[in-house]
Amino acid sequence: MNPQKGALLTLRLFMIVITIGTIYFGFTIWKTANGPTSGGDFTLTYRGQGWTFSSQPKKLNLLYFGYTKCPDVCPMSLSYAGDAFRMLKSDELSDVRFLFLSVDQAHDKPNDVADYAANFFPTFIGLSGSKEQIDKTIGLFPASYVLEENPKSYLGYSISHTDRIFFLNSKGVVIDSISGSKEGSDSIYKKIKENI
Amino acid sequence: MKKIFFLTAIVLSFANLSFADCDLKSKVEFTEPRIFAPLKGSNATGGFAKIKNNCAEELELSLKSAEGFKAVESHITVEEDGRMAMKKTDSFKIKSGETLELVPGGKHLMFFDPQVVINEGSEVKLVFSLNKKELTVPFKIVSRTKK
Repeated sequence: MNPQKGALLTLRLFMIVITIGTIYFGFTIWKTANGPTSGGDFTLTYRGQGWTFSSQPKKLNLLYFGYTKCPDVCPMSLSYAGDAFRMLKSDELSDVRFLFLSVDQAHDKPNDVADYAANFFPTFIGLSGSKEQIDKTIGLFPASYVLEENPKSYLGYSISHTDRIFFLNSKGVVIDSISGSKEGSDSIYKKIKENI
Repeated sequence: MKKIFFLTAIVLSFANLSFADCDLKSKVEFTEPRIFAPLKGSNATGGFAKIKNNCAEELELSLKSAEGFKAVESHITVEEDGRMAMKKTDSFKIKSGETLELVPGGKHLMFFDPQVVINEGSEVKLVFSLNKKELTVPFKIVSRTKK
């Protein structure tokens, strides 16, 4: 082989390796920076009627899992979120919504969940669903809940659940999250402004 | 031996007297006693306060009843495996000179199934047991949400 041709071939191979390496390296950095994606479309019920996330998605959608008989963490998170929504301007409010999904399928009635969520801000949407719908939805997110029987308590049970507000884009993909009860309304407001 | 027994009996009787003498009404301070007004769609709500024990004895406090509510409980909010959970407890202990803080997200009181309309601004009488002596304290009903 002509030494000049050989050198050219080596250079081409080198360039190909460098290009592939750069693309792979760039993709890895992008993937690491963005983290694993979670979320997606989901179907539940609102006041007993079918409700699908993708039917009227907002630019920014906040999602929280809880239950109406939770007297401490859920109302604290929802009241912080309500206060944050009250800080938003009307044009910002039209681009954002808050979804509260009750994981207490056995005890929370759909209308009670809807009424409960609306206590904290009039546009908050209280969602219910079948156990399958709830479990399928919660499975899309880094969240969980556990129903614990407690015959010594008045309710007879309690539900431990993830205390995070997930920020979803219009496709339902998680773009951010924050602790529901620990951070306060200013932090939630700041996150909304960052992501809207 | 008899002397030691006699002295121990005297010390114990004084210890008993010191608690018996502790006037709960004046020696147990409740700061900002409040209950969040029950919300539409829920049958449960929470109550909070700071409770300072100025008695010479440690106090064991348990909530017995609340006017207008069907049931009451004392709870602690804890984080377990990344989830927030509620744990029922029978009582809270407050050492002499210390303050029990009942706060959202921590130790708190729970009230279930209001039997009457409980309006913001009204007061509800709570009956506590403190070392088996009863103390009634009014708690103010406040709004959880801003208008």
